[in-house]
Amino acid sequence: MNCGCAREFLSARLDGALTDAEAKELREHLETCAECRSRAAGLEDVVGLVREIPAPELGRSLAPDVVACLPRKRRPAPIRWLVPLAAAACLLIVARFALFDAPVEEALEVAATDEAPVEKISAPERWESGPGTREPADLPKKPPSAPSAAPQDVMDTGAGLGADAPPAGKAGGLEERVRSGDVRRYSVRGAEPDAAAGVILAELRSRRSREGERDREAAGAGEARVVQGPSGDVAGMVLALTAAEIEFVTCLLEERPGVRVDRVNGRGKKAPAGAGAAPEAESDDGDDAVERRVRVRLDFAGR
Amino acid sequence: MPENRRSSPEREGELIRRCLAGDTASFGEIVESYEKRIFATIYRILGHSEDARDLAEEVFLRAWSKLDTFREGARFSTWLYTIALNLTRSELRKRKTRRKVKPVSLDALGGREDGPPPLPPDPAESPGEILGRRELHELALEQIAALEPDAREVVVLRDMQDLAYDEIAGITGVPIGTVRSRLFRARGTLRTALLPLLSARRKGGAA
Repeated sequence: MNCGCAREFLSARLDGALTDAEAKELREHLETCAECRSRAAGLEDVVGLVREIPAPELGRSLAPDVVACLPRKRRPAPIRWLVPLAAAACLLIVARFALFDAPVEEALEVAATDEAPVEKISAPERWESGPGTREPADLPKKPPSAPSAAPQDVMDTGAGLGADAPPAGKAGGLEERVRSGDVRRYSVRGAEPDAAAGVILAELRSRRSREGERDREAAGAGEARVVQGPSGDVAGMVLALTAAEIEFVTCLLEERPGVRVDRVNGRGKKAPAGAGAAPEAESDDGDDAVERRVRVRLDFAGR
Repeated sequence: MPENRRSSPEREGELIRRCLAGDTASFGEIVESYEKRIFATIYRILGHSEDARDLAEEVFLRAWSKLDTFREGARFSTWLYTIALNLTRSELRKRKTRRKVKPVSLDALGGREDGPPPLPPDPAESPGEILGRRELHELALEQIAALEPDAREVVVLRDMQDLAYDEIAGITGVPIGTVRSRLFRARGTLRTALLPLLSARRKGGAA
């Protein structure tokens, strides 16, 4: 081979990119060509020098700034959503036992007080995201005469609400919290309630058990309750979620075509891309284990 | 080579899945895993640190918004590097048009596209003086910054980011053979510029 080819081979050799045949040819050439031998040494010196240049210092991590700027909505990803009704029901049953480990609370009382405040909110915050109103009347599964529509099968941990929320069961307290925005209400429209509830519970459980590697306590501490309507179907859910989980659940729901999740109460307008949950529940580091959990209520408004 | 908290492929696949479901915290973990590498690549190709940081953030923001176009089974790092390189190339094109004016700063690490800088005085004139390793690094960086963009890219990706030929081919959008020949020519240029300095440094000296 000639020296021109040999030089090219020398460069590739530094990257281990020679075929066996090429390596053999090069070896044979170098045996007889002193100039190429010295060229090989020079090349190794130069490339060796470049390779040892230390990396530039990044300094502060980019992650916090990047995460803060992420738009809340993502384009839909292919996620298997259609959980057959039977499977969803099974998930509900399983999830209840998995997520809750406290005896059934004063379900009737809790449910009653939970229903009542809906009507007391006369003018819920309107989101500008689209047509339609969110009057309490839009939630068909919630007859105004709440106490008689006692959900049949409700379990509540009663625990894990977090130090900053008054205990459940106090009507006045709950009203206060709802009005002040401590309990966040979202209306979920266009979703099949049983399937949606099943998927939410399953995904949250699996997400929390993954996160649980970091904080076992936090993983199991979330309160979750499924609210059933008078005919026994799923009407809503009450959960204790971190800001990241709220976003997670919202995205999970909205990925489905035609499903809309809208905040019903709360202090201010839903922030545009990037903020997602209201400031008081957000933490800078996105670490669920350290973040507050906020009580969230999802009302399935049906199709 | 820049080190990052590297995730295993399984962990990375898991994180990507969660990101697709809207989990921003998982994306933060991906950012932490790749940020040093992406930053270093941009920095070395552009030669300017402030822009490099902004651009690196931009890379990740774009990655998030296009995440559903990432084909499972492809290599995520290649995909991310490609976004980085595309952004860097547009930035360089922008600079080219702006560059009618001579740059004010003659930062040794700055990008120079008007030819190689003059070499420092012949070390042989100050006998006994040995160029420190750090000076050599800076000189090497100057020469790299003086390379044509195509050549600079492959040197940065191969000799600084330690990527394999096939990955570089995927990122730069050229066949492997082209990567190989570009490296050959780029190294030839660097060798010509740097070898005299290296020889002076080494006691023995080489041709």
